[in-house]
Amino acid sequence: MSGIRKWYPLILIVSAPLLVALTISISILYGAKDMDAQTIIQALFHFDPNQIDHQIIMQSRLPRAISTMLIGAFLAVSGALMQGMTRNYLASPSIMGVSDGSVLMITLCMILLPGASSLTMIVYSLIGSAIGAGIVFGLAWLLPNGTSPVRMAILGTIIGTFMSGVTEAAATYFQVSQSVSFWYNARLDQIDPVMIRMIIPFAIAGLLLALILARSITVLSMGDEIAAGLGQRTGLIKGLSMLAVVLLTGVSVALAGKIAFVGLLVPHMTRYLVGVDYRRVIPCCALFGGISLGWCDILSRWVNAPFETPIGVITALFGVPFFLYLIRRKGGKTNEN
Amino acid sequence: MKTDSIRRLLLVVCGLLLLIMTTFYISLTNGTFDLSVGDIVKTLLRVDPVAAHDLVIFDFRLPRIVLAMLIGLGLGIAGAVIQGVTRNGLADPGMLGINAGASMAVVLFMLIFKQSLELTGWLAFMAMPLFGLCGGVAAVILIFWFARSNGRLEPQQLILVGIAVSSGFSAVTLYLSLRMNPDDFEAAAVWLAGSLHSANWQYITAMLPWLLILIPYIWRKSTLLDVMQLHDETALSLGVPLTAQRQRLILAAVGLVAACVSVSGGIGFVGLIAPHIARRVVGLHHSRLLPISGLVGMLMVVLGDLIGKTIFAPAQLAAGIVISIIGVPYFVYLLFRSRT
Amino acid sequence: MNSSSSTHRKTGRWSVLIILLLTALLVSACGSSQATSTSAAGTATSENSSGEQRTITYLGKEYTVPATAERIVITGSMEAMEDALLLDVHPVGAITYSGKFPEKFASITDQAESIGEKTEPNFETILSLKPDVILGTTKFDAPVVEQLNKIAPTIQVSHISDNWQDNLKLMDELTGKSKEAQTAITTYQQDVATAKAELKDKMKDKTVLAVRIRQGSVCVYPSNVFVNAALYEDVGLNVPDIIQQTKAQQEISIEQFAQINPDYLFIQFSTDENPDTPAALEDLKKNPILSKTKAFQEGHVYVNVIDPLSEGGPAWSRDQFLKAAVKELSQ
Repeated sequence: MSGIRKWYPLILIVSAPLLVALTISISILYGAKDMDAQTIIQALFHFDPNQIDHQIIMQSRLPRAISTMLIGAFLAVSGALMQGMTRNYLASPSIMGVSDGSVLMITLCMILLPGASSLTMIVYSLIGSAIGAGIVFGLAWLLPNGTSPVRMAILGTIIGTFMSGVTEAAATYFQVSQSVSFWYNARLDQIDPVMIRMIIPFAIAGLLLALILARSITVLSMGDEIAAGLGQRTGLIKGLSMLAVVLLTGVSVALAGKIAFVGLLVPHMTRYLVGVDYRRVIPCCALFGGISLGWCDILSRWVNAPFETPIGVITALFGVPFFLYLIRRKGGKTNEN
Repeated sequence: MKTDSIRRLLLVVCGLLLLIMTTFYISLTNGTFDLSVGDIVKTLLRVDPVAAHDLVIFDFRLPRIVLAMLIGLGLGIAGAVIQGVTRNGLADPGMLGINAGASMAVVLFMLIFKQSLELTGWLAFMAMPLFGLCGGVAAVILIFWFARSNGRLEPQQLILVGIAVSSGFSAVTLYLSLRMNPDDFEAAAVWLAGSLHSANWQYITAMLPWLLILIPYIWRKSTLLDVMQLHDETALSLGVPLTAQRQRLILAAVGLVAACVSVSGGIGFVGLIAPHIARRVVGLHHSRLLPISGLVGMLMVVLGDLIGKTIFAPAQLAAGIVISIIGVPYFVYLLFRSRT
Repeated sequence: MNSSSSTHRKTGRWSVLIILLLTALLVSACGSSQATSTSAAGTATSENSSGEQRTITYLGKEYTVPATAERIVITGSMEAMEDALLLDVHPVGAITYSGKFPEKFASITDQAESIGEKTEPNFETILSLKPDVILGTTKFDAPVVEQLNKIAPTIQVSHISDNWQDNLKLMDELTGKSKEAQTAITTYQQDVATAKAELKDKMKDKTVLAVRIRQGSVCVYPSNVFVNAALYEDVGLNVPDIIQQTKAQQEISIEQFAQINPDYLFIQFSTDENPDTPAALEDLKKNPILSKTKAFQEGHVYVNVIDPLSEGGPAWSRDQFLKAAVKELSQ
C-alpha cells in the first residue's frame, strides 16, 4: 500500500469517537421542535421527567440517534461479510433477499399474531433473514456459475421480488397493505426504545462472530482453492458468517424495516480506505456504516421539513449512482479486491 | 432424424394448443354469473340472444381471456428474446426496469393527475396505459444510456444496470405510494401486482398493433438470435453488426413488454419462466423457441387469471400474484432438475 | 439426447401441467357451486319492469334512472354507504372487507350480497343481482365505469368531502326519501350555527387537532378532509399550521405532535386498522412525551367520539362528529 494510505485505518480509528459524538450531537440537536444546546445538556445530565423537552430528548431523539448508528453498523458489517465470503461485489442484504425475507416473516407475524411482543417479532425477523439467505445462497451454490455477481444479483432479485409479492398478496387480502408499506419505507422515528435493549444480545453475538471470523474471511476472499489449500474449513466459515449476517440483518429489519444500499456501499468505501484485511475492514465498516446512516437520517429530517422522508429514499439517492458507478468499473467480473 | 424433431415440434404445439383451449373453455364457462354451457353456445352462435348473457360473455369474460392470451404471448416472446440477447437464462424483461418504470409512472399518475383531470372518452381510457408505456420506455432508455460503454452494449452490464435502476425507481414508487389514501393505495397495489380486472376491447385494440408488428419482426431475426448465442468475437467475425442488432432486438422486446404492462400492470416472471420451459421441450433454435415460448406464456397468464378470479370469488386475486406464487417455486424446481 | 430421455422429460413436464389444470378445474368447480347460490332466475337485464325512466342531475351531470330505484348496488364508495345508513336504505349489493360487511353497516346490509372487495367490483355478481342503479365512486377508472354502465345506470359518487350535501341529496332522490335528506341537512346546519355560537369565542386562542392512528402511527389530514371539515370549515376553528401544510394524509412524529401542542385532541383509532398494535392507543397515552403535552395534561383528549371507521366527510359522520365535538369542547 502506498504511503499515506497506510495511515488511513489509524486516522479512522482515532477520529471515529469524535465523528460518532459529532453525528449523535447533531442528530439530537436537529429536530421538529426547536431546542437549544443548553436544554440538551440539562436533559442528559440533570434529567427532569416533568419537562417535555427533556422527555423528547431522552425518549425520542437519543434512542433514534443511537439506534440509527447501530443499524448502520450492523448492515455495513453484514454487507462486508457477504462480499468477502462470496467474492461478489454486489452481495448485500437488500439485494440478496435477506431483508425481504425478514419483512415477509414480520408481515406474517403481524397478520397471524396481532399484538405479538417485540421479542416475537425479532425472532420472526431472524427466521425470515435465514430463509431469505438460505434460498438465495442455496440456489447460487447449487447452480453452475451461480456465484458470479450477475447471477447472484439476479437470483437475489427474483427471490426478493417473489417474497415481496407474497407479502403484498397477504397484505392486500388482509387489508393491511399500507401498513406493510410503512414497513418497507423504514422510518427511524418509530423505533421502540424497549426493542433496542432487546436486540443487544443478538447484535453483540453477531458482531463478535464477525470479528472472530474476520481473519478467515480475509483468506476466503482470496479464493476457495487458496483457502482450502491453507487448511481452512470453508464450509464451516461460510456457515458461521451467514449466521452472523442473519443475526445482524434480522435485528436491523426488526428495528426499522428494510434499508437498502448501506450493506452494499459502505464495505466498498471502507475497503478503498483500509485495504483488504478484514480484521481492519469489519470494525471500520461498523464505524463508517454507523456514521453514514446517522448523517442520512439527519438529511431525511431536513429534506422535507417539517415532515419526515423515509430513509430508504435518501440511501437510494446516494446508493443508485454509486451502484451504477460500481457496475461501470467492474462489470460482470468477480471481486478482485 | 429431422422428421423426428418436426414430429416432436408438432406434438408440442398441439399439446399446448389443447391446454390453452381447455383453459379458455374453463375460463369462459366459469364466473359468478350462472350460465350453463348451453346458454354460452347459444350466445356465441347468436341463437335467441339474451342481453344479459351477451354482456357476460362478450363484455366481461371474453375480453379478459383474450387480453390474457395476448399478454402471455407478448411476454413469453419478449422473455425469450431478452434471454437470447443477454445469453443469460435468468434474465427477465422486468429486470430491464420496464416494470419499475411503468409502475412509477402509473403511481405518479394516480397521485397527481387522476383527481384533477376531467378526462372523457378515449383519453379517459387510455391515460393510465399511456403513462405506463411512457414510464416503461423512459426507464429502458435510461438504462441503455448507462449501460453503454465505448459504444458497446455488454449484456452483463445491461442486466446489472437494470437491477440498479429498477431498485431506484421502486424506492421512489414506494415513497409516492405512502402519500396516497389507503384506498387509492390498495388500487395502486392491485395494478402493480398485475390485474386483468378492467380488461376491455379498447385495451385489446390498443395492444394489437404492437404485437402484430413486433412479433413478426422478431421472428424474422431467429437466426440472428441463434448466432448471438456464440461469443461476441465469433459473432463479430461472422460479420454481424452486434451492437446495433442487439439494441434493436432489445427495443423490440421492450416494446412488447411495455404494451403488455401498460394495460395490465406488472405481471412478472412470465418472461423468465416461459422460455425455460420452451427450451427444455424444443431446444435452442429460436425459430421454434420463440413461438413455443409465446404459447407457454399464453397458457401461464390465462391459467393465472382463471385461478385468480375463481379462488376467492367474488373477490379477485391479481393474475400477477398467482403467477409468481405458483411460478417461482416451479421455476426453482426446473432449475434443480436441469442441473442434474 | 436419445428419444427416451427426452420423452421422459416431456412426460414429467406434462404431468405437472395436467396437475395444474386439474387444480384449476377443481377450483372453478368450487367457484361455480358458490355461484349457483346467487339468484339468476330471470334472463332479462335490469330494465325496470314498469319501464318508466326519469332524469336526475348530480354534480352537473344528468343520469337516466328508473322511476323508483328499488335495487341499488353500492360499490367502491364508502360515502354512499354512510348516506345509505343515514337514510336507512338497504342496498342489494355492497362492499365487503376481507369477506365481511363492516359492523357499522349491519342495519342496512341485511339483504345485501357481497360484490367484491373495495376496488374491484365483480361485474358478474353485480349483473346477477339485477340492480336498477349502481353507485360507484369517482375513484374508479374509466374502463370499470364503462363496464358498470353496461349493467345498469351508474353514478359516480364523489369522494371529495365538500360534496357531502350533493351526495346525500342524490341518495335521497334515488330512493324517494326527499324530506329526510333535507331535514338532515337543515338539522346539521342548525347544529353548526349553535356550535359556532357556543364555541367561537371560547376557542379563539385554542388549538384543536384531530388525528387518526393507523398502524401505530399518528396521521393528520388536510383541512377539508376527515373530521377536519366539520371542525375547521363548518364551525370555523383555527387551523393549525401543520394542517395548512398538509396536502394529503401525512404521518407525523411524536416530536412534531409535541411541537403543535394542541389544547384539544380528537383521536380516531380502529382495531381493524391497527391489527398488529391493538394496544397502540394505550401506549400513546402512556408515552412520556405525549403525556406532557397540553391536551393530555388537561384531560382534553377524546377518543373515538364517532365510529372509528367513519370517513368524516359524509353527512352521517359529519353530524355525529359535530354533536360529539360540541359536547366535549363546550365543557
